[in-house]
Amino acid sequence: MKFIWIVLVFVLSSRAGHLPQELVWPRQTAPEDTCRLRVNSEQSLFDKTFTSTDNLVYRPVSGPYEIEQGLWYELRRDRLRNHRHYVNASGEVYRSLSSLPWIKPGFDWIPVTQVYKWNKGVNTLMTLDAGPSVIFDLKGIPLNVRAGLSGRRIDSLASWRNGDHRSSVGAYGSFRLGAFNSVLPFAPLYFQLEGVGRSIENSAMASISGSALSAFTIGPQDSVFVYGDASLFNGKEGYLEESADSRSSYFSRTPWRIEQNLNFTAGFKGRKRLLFYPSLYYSWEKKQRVFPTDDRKRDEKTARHTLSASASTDTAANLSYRGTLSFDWREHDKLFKRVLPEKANESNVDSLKLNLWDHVGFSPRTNHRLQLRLPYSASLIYDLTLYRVLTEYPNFFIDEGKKVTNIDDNDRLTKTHRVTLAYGGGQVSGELFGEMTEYTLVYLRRAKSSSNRTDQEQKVGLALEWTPNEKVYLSESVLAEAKKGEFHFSDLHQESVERPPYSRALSSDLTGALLLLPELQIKGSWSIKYSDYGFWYGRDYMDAALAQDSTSRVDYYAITSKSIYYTVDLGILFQHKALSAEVGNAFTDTYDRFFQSGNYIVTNDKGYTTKPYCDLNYIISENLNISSHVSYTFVVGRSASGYWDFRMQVEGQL
Amino acid sequence: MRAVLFCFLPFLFLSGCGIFDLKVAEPPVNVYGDDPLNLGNILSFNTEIDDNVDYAELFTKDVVFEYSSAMTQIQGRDEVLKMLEYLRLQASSVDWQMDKGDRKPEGNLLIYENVPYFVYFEGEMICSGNADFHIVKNLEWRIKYWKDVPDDAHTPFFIP
Repeated sequence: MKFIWIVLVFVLSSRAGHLPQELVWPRQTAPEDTCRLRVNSEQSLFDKTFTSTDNLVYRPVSGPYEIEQGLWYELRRDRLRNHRHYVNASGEVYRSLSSLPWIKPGFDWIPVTQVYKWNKGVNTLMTLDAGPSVIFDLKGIPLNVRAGLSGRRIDSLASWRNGDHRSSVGAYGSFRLGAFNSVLPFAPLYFQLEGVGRSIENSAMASISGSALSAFTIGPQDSVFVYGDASLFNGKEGYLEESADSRSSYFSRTPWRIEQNLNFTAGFKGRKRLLFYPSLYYSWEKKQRVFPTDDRKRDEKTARHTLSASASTDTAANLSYRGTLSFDWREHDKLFKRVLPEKANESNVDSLKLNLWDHVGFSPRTNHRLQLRLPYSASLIYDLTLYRVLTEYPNFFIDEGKKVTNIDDNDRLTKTHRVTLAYGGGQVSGELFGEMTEYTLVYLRRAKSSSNRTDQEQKVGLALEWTPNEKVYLSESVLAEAKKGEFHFSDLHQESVERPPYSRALSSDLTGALLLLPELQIKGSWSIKYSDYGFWYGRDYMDAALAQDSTSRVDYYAITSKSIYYTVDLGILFQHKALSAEVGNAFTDTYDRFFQSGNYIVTNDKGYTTKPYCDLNYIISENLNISSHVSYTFVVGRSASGYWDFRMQVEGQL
Repeated sequence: MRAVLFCFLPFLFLSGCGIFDLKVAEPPVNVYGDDPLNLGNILSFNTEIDDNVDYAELFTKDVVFEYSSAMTQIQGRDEVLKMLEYLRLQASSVDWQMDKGDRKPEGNLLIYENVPYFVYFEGEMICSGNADFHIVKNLEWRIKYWKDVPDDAHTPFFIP
């Protein structure tokens, strides 16, 4: 009984949005899949690219046998008409023993075939894992052990003559103790430990990983959550890799990699104190990645500490508050604290240069929301967010008497104020908001500090929805935004393209729907957006120009490009029993102008498009559904041809 | 109201501690200094590049930007001026390993192929890849062709 009560407290406690995802208790469990056949098929043709994904899982019930056979097939055809096929026919069978209910012997198989077909040949990689497996029930804790043989066959790959192949045989073994989504029978603890090893030809790997989550109460209503995970990977794996220019493929092995991850997180969710609800968590994370035989400088060790606190008041009150303050400390180490001489020479300069990328970071973040309830279902909301990211590179070396440092040390701050007046109730709901964001970027070293700048961004928006009855729906949203930069050292930005960027935009989206008959609805939307982009010619940036001509125009916004984009979409929706069909047409136009040689030149490269479309959805049975979309985009006003967009999905179970 | 005050007070106290105050920068040297992509390094192997990095000076007027992503297989080109503005506004740092690429001099044309690069953002390596450059000498060395082949599914430099 007490355990049930504790779980209930945890259920309520874990709903705090502030705590990180790994502390969520209880973990969400998917409902048990009892269907015999599950089907999912997706087909997509866009322009010249075709993708097909088909997945079948068959689970017949046959006495004491539990059988599962899957079939996963993927086909991807790109614009260059290269074809990539992927087939996975994994399956398993287990038999329950009435005399030994704690053991379930079985057998599993994972055959995978990948075929890459291009204009000069066909490359194939086939792998097969097959072997016995056993599931033990250790007093309510599942233990799954698998072992078997691995086979691999590679055909006609790069640097091989057509028809050549090579085959190899290896072995694998794995275990999994516990389950990610079920609590241990004797303690409030989620626990899972798993390991896998494989060796085939000259690629071998082993990995072990585990995680645990527990929760318990302190006092009457306070809850504490503790989570930890660890993993270690060592080895290399083989795979079919596409070449960089996408014109061929070849068999490759990942570089030898040793990777360790550690994570510990503890959280606290408290009862109501001094009229507010507190929560707090601390997280520590360590990652280390080493490539012993790879010279691509990717070795790295990182450590991160996070401390976060949150408080909120009762949201049912007329005035409520919710706020969070968090700190994040980071440390990145490329050479694992190796002691290096200060002076550079030919033998150590590469290491010294790499060592310059070691860095430490500090990121405080806070957000606060005040909400005031007003009469007539309205509310006034104020949000404040501050987010700072400081990154410093402490290492340096001496090269020919000069001190060499990393010049990227930087400090950034984003500050956002947002005021929202929201109204919801009855036939009309809406929101009016204003937002101001200030982003400041400060490079600390003299080599880059001339780029230091502050961007000011303002937004004002209005969104309205009107639903007078079940037959009519209308909504409109308007947004105006502007962004202007300001360099901290304006005298170093006197050239035209070095002046601060400036941009503006105004957009409107209107949508509506009218139900003509119980089965027939008209839908429409109209969107328009005007935007421009350019540079601010402030007086501070015109010293050089004013020295030449004191009458030069100053303090103006020079627009280098203007754009108007609009789209109109009209459609009819027909719904009858299990069938739903929508047909319509979307018209889109873009009107671009660029400033060149004293004039705005129209560059209507994109022309305009008109796209008739049809969406169909049919519910075949309670558990089986088919949906599709087909459209053709006609491009008018330029030489580009139109393109098809076809998508179809069948999903369900039998 | 009391609850709101109780919550706001610690915040006001912490905000006053200076945790959101930015550090003071060193006074800048008298240059643009606006080369977040370290493009000056690409040419510094062939010619003396001073600290005045103006991107328009690093490229020929008919420069071609090309990219080929292994995942999307899109190939495209963009207008030079717009692209230069976009490149200059990027806040990443790039380590170009020119000495690791294949170098093929052909008269007044210098071809670099498969130049490895590593992109860092706020100190963290976010992606890597290879690049081809054609660098041509008229009066000055300038980049005439730049092909970007990022590793994995990373976005090429030229896609905003």
